[in-house]
Amino acid sequence: MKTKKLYTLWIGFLGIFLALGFYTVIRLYTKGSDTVFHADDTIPWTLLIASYVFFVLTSTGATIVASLSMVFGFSRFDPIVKRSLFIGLIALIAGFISMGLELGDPLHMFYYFISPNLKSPIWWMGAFYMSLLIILSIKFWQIHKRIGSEKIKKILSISALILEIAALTTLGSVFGFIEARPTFFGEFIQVYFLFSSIIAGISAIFFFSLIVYKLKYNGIPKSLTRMYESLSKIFAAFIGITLLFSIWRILIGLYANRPEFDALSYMVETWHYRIEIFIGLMVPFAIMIIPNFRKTFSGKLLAAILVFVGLGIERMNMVMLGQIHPIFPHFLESESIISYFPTIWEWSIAMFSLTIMLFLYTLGEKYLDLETHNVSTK
Amino acid sequence: MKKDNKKSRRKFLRYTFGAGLGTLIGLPLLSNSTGHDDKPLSGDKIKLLTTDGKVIEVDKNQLQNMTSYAKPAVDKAARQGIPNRKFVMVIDLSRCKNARACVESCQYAHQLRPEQEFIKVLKMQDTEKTAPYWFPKPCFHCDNATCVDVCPVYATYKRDDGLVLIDSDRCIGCKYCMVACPYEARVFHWKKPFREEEFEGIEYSPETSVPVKQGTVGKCDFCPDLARNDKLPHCATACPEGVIYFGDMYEDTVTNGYETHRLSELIEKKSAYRYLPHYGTEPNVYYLPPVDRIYPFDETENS
Repeated sequence: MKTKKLYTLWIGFLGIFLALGFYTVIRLYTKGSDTVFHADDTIPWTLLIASYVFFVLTSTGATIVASLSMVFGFSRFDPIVKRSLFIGLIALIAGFISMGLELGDPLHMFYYFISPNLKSPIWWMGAFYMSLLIILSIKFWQIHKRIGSEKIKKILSISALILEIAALTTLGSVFGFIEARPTFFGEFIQVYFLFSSIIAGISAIFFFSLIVYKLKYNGIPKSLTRMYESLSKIFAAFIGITLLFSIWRILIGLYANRPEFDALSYMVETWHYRIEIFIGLMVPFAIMIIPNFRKTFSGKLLAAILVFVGLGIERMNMVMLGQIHPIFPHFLESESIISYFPTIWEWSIAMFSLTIMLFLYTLGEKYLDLETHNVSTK
Repeated sequence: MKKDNKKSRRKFLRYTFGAGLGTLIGLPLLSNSTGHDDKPLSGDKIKLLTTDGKVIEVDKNQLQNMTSYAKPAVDKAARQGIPNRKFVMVIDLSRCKNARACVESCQYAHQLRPEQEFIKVLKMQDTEKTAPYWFPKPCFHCDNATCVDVCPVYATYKRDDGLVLIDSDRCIGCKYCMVACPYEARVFHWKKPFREEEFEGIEYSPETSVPVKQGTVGKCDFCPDLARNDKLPHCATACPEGVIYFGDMYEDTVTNGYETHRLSELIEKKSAYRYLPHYGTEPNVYYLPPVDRIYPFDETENS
């Protein structure tokens, strides 16, 4: 009874954001992009690009975790394969929604297929992520319906892993190839994306599965505690690596003499950057390396939530870091730092993408039986 | 009252723009243009401001209608460019006094909103010890254009005549070119097109960048529709000081409408430079340094 009430409340909550999102989409296409977006040529990429990066990196991260079992044969992780794949799929869909709504003229998208520019990182990124969507859908269907030969499953799993790595590093190159904006951090960002994608994926898997376990079994089922302990250690290791990258990124930026790096000096002083580093990485790292915290249900859930939210802020900081310093030197009237805060409608679209993801997850959990193991609570 | 002012300003700009044909790159354009000489004089005189600051009177029938020009190219021809040409621009920083006529004529011709500028006039200062100067900044039509490389659908492309153009019929509005351009040369059409009714029914061409399409990217196009008619871009024609030279690299010649120079001589003798060359973009806009200035730097100057 209590669960039913909670479920109704949850659907109602999602419904509010869905309705707001639909209203914003209608507003975007009837009243024009200037009524929705920040509409400033000096900051062409806004919250929705950050939101896209956030979702697609979460997607690749979740599916890379699934490949621990599917590609590398660590059978301990078999129980989370289906759920991880599903999270990968719905996060990808959420990412596409953010990107699709960010485009000024999505009706011209057919030129993407009939007039491809193979030199463009965005083209390759799109190609990899679209292929990934297809492969992940097939794989999920195979697992759901328990069909397909082992050989085909293996080939698809390996292809998916290659595509995941290709997609997220190509996404890094979208930013990294921009020579005029060194604060996107060139090739550094691609490696950073790989590690931060993995923690994004694990945090999403923890977040979604732990809440379900809490509601269904009042905690992690006994048969899964060893797996979650292993995953927590992997989580800790990759949060540590991501933190190390973040610290070096700050130090490289602060030691650089180029004026563009003023953006970083500015950024490290802001509250959102501090949340990214302290609350989004340091605190969860501490939780995950101290066994007394790591082994608890709430420790895991808290670390997952902090990393999930912290990475949301990180993607925004990353997209802004490359844009808030004017790239045109010696221009006297330019501001030293361009200010930007997302409009309420940009927030609404980002929340719309997240809501779609949460809504699809709710449906998946209800109708697709995301458990792939026999749960034992003893 | 405000509306009237706006109207008269539009009218003024339109006639100034039309007069530019007759006054800047030469009154000969008026007298030589076919189709206009045959018209009898109406007796209806119109006052025009020439770019050297004089007010002249011409008969209304002597004004040349822009639409009577050779049509701008569309489709494949707009992608190929004008054969055997390689366009180049030279901007003389010693002459610019921020009159902003280039900005306004460009805005008018390209259906831009007042806040949108394909050519910007920036206030620059190289070091604290050197004097500031005005710096007109169009698109540099780079030979190694980053914007062309990053566009996923080839909406931005490089032509054989050196021009980098945008096909708004193809642009998806991802804004990657805006982020990638080291010169911040691009604008996004966030809002509903300005003066929409005036451009209604005109066939879109990447050579004119009009009619503007909301949700796409725009930028300076070097006015190839005018180049097809051997005319200077709007900015060069409108500039009262002859700051902007335009020409052909293959012919080694540039002109601002008053003077014609050998490009190579200008580059060598006046130590012309290209902006931010370390990006390796190979811009096709050269700057003559702000030395031996004709006007002292005046922040209030805007006329």
